[in-house]
Amino acid sequence: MVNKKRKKQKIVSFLVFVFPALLLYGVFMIVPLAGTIGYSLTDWDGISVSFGWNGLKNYVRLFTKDTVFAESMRVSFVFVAAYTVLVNVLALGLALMLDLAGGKRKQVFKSIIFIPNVVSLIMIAFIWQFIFTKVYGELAIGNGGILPDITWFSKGSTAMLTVIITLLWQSLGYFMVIYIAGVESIDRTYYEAATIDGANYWQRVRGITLPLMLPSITVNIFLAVSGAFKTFEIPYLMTRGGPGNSTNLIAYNIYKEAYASNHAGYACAKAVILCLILMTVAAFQVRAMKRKEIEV
Amino acid sequence: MTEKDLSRGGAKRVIVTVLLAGVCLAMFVPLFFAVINSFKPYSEMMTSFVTLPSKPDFDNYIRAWKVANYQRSFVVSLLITIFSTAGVVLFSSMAAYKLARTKTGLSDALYMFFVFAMAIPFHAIMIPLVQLANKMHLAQNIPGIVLIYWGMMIPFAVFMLHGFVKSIPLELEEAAVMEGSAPLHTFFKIVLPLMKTPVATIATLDALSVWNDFLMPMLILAGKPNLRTIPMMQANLFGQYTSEWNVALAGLVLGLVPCLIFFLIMQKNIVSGLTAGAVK
Repeated sequence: MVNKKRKKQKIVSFLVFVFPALLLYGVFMIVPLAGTIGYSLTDWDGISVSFGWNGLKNYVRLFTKDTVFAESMRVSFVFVAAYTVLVNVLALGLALMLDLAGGKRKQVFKSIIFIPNVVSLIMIAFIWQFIFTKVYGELAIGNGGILPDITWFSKGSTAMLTVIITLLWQSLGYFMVIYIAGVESIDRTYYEAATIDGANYWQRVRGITLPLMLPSITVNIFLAVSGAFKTFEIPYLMTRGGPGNSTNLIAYNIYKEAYASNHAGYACAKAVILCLILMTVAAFQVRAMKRKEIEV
Repeated sequence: MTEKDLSRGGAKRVIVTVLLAGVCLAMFVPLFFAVINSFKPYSEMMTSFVTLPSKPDFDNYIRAWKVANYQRSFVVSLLITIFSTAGVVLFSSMAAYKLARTKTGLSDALYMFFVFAMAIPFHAIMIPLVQLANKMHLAQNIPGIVLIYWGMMIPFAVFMLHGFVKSIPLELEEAAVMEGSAPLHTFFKIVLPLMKTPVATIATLDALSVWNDFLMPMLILAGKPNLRTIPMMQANLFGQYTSEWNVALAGLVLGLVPCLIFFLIMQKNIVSGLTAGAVK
């Protein structure tokens, strides 16, 4: 009797604590996720109350007929790969340099490089649009300046570069901060021992720093990949996906399909694909992290 | 270390410092051009985008402030940020605490269910979410968007706080329960104060991401000019002043200032929070 009462109390208290969070998460994330999957099987335009079911037609069209989507996927993967490599190489390099500089200046440099990370991407996209369209031209050789003549938004390859540069500028500090934490966690006695054994700086970096930073490198690679797949503001604002479809990144492409072309059902099918990609990435991440735990 | 090693280390430090100073300078270049042009009258800006203003002109700022209704956007952004952050912190600390303290299969499964959310990209749910918000009358009002932010940000906060709760020793709570303290009372009086540091970190990160978010307010609050957040106000300003960059840039600098002040005050929390969130 007493036991039963206590058990009931426990359940009530569990519900009081967990239910609000669970309800909010369920209503605003899980229900819409189910909605996306459901609508991906329809021809819903996003406005009408009625819509027709059309089975897997959206998916068939996505993979067989839709050249814009194919191009959007292609540029997304190029973008993700280029950005992931660049941001990690640069951030790791900066973290090692900051470690070498040491002292108070390290803090100051770290803060300055980090600052763009606290600014809204929408503002950052505006700043860079201004730089690429107005300031750069005036500094180009054609106008008596020193920089190579490039009209950034007229060609696919350079337009893609503007998107990469803008996101790099905003996020470099974030990745760098994670690498700094990795460098700082390394036991300094390893370096002392290696120095006594006659190892020079590069040998110490290759033999000690990089292997011990593998966990941070793993984390940062996954963060970069998933972050890059979700890039929306920059193409939305700066390039409108163009010229052509050269910067039509997948997240922006979904938005456009839903709200500019009013193909909500079809956009949902694209959203399901993006979701599957990111869940695969997350699954790989979980596996990579688990392996790391066992090793340590 | 020999003297030669030391002096070489010194030289290396100098080289690295110079390089880093160069990087920092490069980081400032875009901001520099944005700021100098925000102080030029239109005609002066059109003659050159790269020269310093002949004399600082505050006209652009006055215009941008008025046209954008800056103080209004500031209040809207502030209200959304405060209420979103407060709710996330409250509900997720409660849930994280109970989930970490209850050792049942259901509790573990629910925790994994929260963690699962972190793999769902916003773009994969936004279309039905907007429809849902319209149906539930949550669109075009502040309480509505706050409620949606709660749902979006709770999972990550639960994940972060769950790990922390596990590191709090049980004794204090047990003593309180022995004395007949009710669960909610125990949580708010004893556990929550112990969670102060990670809660502050989560609150800082969430506040920053809500303050800077663009897509959600654009989808949920669009069509109501008096409910423009600061990022929406920026987009609107740039839409209106497509050639008058000087005015748009003045508005941009106005938008940058709160971010920078927040960063200067909360720097430690932001950096440690981001690192913890990533490495965990």
